[in-house]
Amino acid sequence: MIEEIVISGLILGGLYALLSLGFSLIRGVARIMNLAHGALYMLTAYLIYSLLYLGLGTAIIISLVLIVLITLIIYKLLIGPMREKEAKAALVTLALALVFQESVKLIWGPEFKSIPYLISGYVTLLGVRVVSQKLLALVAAAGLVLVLWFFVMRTKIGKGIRAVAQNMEVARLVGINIRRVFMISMGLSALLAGLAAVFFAPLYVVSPTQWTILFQAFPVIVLGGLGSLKGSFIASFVMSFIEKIVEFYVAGGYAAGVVSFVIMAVILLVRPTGLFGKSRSGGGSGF
Amino acid sequence: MSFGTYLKEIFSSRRNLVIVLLILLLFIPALTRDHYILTILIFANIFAVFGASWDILAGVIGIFSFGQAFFFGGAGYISALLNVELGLPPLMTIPLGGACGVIVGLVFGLPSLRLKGPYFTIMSLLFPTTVMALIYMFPSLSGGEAGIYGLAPISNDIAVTYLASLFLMLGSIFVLMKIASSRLGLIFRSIRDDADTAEATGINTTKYKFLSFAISGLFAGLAGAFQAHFLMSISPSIFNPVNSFNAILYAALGGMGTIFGSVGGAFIMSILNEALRGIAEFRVLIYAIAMMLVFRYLPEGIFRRVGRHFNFRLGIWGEVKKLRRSRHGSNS
Repeated sequence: MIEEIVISGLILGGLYALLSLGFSLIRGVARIMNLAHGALYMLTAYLIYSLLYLGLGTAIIISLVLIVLITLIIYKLLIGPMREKEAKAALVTLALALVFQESVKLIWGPEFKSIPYLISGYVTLLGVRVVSQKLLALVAAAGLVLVLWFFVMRTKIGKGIRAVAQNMEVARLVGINIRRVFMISMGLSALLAGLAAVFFAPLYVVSPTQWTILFQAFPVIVLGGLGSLKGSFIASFVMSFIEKIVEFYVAGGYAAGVVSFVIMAVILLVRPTGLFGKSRSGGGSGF
Repeated sequence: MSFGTYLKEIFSSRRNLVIVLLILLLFIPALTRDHYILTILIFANIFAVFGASWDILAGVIGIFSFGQAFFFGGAGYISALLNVELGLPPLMTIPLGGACGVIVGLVFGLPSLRLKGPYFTIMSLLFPTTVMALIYMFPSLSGGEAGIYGLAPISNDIAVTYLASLFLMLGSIFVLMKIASSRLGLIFRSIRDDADTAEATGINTTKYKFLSFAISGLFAGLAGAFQAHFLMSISPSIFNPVNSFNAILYAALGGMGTIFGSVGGAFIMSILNEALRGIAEFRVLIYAIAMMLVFRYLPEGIFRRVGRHFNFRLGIWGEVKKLRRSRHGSNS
């Protein structure tokens, strides 16, 4: 029981971390609330599923390239020009998520699909048998978070990203090409959603409504505070463990959703900018 | 005066146009009792109220909610329970549904009031889906996945139901437009345009935001309760984000901030909905694409856009008439 909770909590936390980091990244940098972020995760899983005949490795690489390209094209045509009107842009991304959902339903059908594990077999850890894929997903999530942290904190482009997140106008004044920073962040965020699908989608079902996993991750994003890398990471595991404990000991998956909503509502009542959020508008000074 | 110029005269003012349309809508049951046509129009009336209830929040006071289905479905569920469990007639449960809509609106407003931007969006998106989870959790009370059915119909005569929906729509739109053009509406719009300045001029923005949630909840609640009785059932899918999305589409298509725009938006979408019946699996897709196109290319709404296009004719007639009238007035 306990080990079950620990493992599934860690896995869910890893997925939350990847999704909320990608979501927070583009929101913190370009002030775009991308409600289609979960749909990118779902779409990548479907792309891998339909390219499987090329072999798993090739399918994954092509899918990741495709998802980044699709995202950048959508950003250029649709979201970018509306960036200034935040609520309306968010609505357009929600419409986009529905477009993805319905297209996937039309192309691949409404029934559940699954994509294969990257590695098979079990590993025995402290006397508990763990599916290797779960372990791999967890290691990958930790690795990706570290790589992202390194990229944002230690590279020149990362410095640009942080500068734009902190103050867009000043960043523009000192000569940073903010449009390019937006494009890079958008691509990076799509890549994170895609990689989340590569490692975590095999552990869950693949279905057209799977994009609503983003809704499930919202309490994490609020708890972590938008635009705070560290906050999102800690919050992911705190919330996933709370949810799993409620799910196992109290009353199933629906109760977990309700409890995390109540936690979120209470946090927002006390602190309207989330627990780790700093600025009132949710701007990303944490990057 | 020939008949042609007489027609032009009538359609040169918006007021006359509205009166002609009203008479047409009132006499539709006399023209046809076709179940199919009246059903489409009843839905259009319900959706118009639902869209307008979102518009008073988003278009007038500037609270861009993604969770309008929470008001609509919440009040619908409560009135369904009142009807099925306590046996209250629709004539009581629908107004009570509106009253519950006010409470539901305040419940929504309480944690969301101080939130800004993305935090409010998140909160408003999660409210309806959380209620959906609660319904699944307590199936004995809420009917679970199957929902509640066996509600009393509004009337066995579809024409009566149509007229009831028409009066609901006209009354709601009239009240909402009065609110929007009153002093209260002015305060709302000042909050929308600049909440900090409004606060600085002594407006208690918290109080007015609460009030706007209550108003929005009232009308969304009336519409939700009406729909529950019209369909004689209600299911948890009413809390689906797509449903909130529809309210936004009606209002945005017609023109945000106009209130009456959502009537046009709702009628257009209801008729389109029937036209697309043969390809029902494309419906949500087409709705979503329509939404993207409206917000990207038609932010002022279809009527203001078309009006601007035909301004050359409609506008000039209107202006000439106004000019003539004012000169006439000043001379005499």
